[in-house]
Amino acid sequence: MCSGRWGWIATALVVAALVPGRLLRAQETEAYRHVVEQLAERVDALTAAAPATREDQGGPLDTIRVGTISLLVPPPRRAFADEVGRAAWDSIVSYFGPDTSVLAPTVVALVPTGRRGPSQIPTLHLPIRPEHPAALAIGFILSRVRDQELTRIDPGSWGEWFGWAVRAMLFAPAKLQARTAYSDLATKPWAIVRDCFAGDISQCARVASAGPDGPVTDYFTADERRRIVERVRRDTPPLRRSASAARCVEAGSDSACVEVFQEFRVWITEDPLSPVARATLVRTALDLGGEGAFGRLAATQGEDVLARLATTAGVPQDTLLATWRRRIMAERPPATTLPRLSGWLAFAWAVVFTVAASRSTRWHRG
Amino acid sequence: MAPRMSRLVTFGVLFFAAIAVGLLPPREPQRPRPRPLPRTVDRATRQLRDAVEHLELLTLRDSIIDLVRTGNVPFNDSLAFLIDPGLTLHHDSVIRGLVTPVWRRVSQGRPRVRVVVVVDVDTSAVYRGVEVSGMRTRIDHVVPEVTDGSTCVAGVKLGRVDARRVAEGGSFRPSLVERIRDRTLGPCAYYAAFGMPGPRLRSWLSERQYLPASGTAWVNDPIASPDPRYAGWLDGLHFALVGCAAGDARRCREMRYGLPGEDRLPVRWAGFGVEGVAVGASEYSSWRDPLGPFQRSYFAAMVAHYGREQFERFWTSDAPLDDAFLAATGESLDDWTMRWTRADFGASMRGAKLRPVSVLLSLVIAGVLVGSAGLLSRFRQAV
Repeated sequence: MCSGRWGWIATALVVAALVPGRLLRAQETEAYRHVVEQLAERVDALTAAAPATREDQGGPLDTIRVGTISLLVPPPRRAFADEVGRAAWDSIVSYFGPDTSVLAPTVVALVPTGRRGPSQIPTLHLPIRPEHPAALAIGFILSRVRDQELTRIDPGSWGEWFGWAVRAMLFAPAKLQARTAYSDLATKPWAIVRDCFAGDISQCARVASAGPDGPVTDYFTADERRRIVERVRRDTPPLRRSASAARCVEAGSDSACVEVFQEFRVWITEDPLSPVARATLVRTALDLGGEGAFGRLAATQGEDVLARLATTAGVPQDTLLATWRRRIMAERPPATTLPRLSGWLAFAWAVVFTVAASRSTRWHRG
Repeated sequence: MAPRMSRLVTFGVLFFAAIAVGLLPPREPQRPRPRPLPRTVDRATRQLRDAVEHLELLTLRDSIIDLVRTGNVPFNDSLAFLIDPGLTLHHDSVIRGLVTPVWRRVSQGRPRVRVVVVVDVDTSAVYRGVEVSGMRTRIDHVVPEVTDGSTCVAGVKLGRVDARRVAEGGSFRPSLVERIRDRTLGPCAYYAAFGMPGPRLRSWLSERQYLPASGTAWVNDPIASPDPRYAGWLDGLHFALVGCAAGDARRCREMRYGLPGEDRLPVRWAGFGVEGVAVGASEYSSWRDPLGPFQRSYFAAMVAHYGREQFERFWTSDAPLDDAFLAATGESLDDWTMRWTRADFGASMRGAKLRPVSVLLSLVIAGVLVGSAGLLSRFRQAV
């Protein structure tokens, strides 16, 4: 009797384990509509739990003006918009200086997710939560200002050069940028950067004006070009298949290396100086130029970026570059020094180990 | 004492047998558990948007079934087009001209199911304040098991960008032309060519939103060879795929079933998805998916390699996936998966890259050091 019951249980277990996967079950549309309704109610309930956000869904938008920035927001977000607008404006003033009259008006809409912003106006969709981070909105406003001003500075081939520089300037404090630039100059392995670091202003001029599409023969030596191609080739399949890259690395052909730079520029992102270092040059020019400097920068045109920056600064190019280099070098970090306490501790440990060693057994032969 | 002992032994045997049956291969894929209701507005809104898209497709399915039943669908060789009257005759003929040749090659004059292709221009729907329609053009499918048993529905919903372009009299973008040609029939092509899949395969495909059976490259002549750009490019891929490319058959199995405890589809449909309904799956391509970014070609490559007859045996088999494949082709599905993966990504290396000579040298040096230490210790003497 007992063993019969166990037999049934065993059979049931085995059958349950071996039963084939459940067949497809056609979903009834009305039943699924119920699921959708349930989800919609959930959205409503969650939205209601954030009272400040409910009114965001419709109605007119308020306009908050800070400097040349206009922010369009739903009324419940006024305080938030005021806060992020001021923070963004402070950052802009620290870059453009007091000469903000030359800035073009910037209009940005900040509306919650799910609501459309005004057409033709750049819109940031904020998460529908009261605790969303202000940094997101500040970054968005700054990038709109950057894009707009960038078009004024140069819509042409130097746009990217200035783009990176201005982005770096808007998003990082000057002190931090100068430190990063110092680290750049001190650690980049390229001869041109080393010479600039050592004080050769003519090399600084070449390295500072290095653009993304500039002739690579100006910035890197033949050996450096080969090293760059060799490194990039390791991780880049198209370069691994390139015959020019193979000739460059394996046969050391410099003409092949130059070909690779031209053909695969999008993969080879090595620039002699980082955008942050360029940003310090633009900032130095604006600082030296004082009032009206940004207006002069926007007014100048042409391919010679150093000449434009010198005009902006109102000083000769050499003076601008020397000031730039001096500012960077001033950010040299202090040499590592040993704190007194650490020195005494190290000495104490040395004594402890010496005493312990001297009390050990001696060495004998035989 | 004796009966109690035997009961204990029986219970123990059954317990371990149950575990063995449950865990030993072949193990069926587990169904994703229904997700709990979302806790944030963002997530809830996103899921509502997905659910509304599914609901739209279910409503479309109901309408199509009604139309088919009442004989209001103009089938030609078991293929019918229902094209939004908002589209011009030119667009209408382009769509027909792209899909029909693929259909002819797929069905070979003997289609097993009917297919209705519905082309719709997106009309920016707003559901309870949530904007539902998408910017991008979507291709959806409803398989015959959840319609009337013999009709497959393929829905092309032009997104806002394409719809505007078309409304302004422009022609389809080249990339859209390619998508309409290669992805419209999707899983419907397999149903038409090979009939209804076996229950195990159907279950597996349903979980994967029919992605492995959504490519129709096997009808192309010649079949495109894998893109050589991806050879050796394993960055960001799922570990199962990387392991499989390195020759680990166990990992090839994980490519099909995922790692233990891992969602089969790390995408939106896993939450409120509907069986037999694939919304926008033709757009999905994730490098983090166990089957990799090219899983659309998984079955297409099989058909191309083994031929229609062998694939049909696999497709219609009632056996578990692996057994069905072995019986149909004489090859293990893991081996096939490995070859298919390697065709795209090449064979990667597995384990440490130590050369035997380096290992030997290390052992010799270690031996010398241990020997020296032992020798030296003989001269050390406690006082």
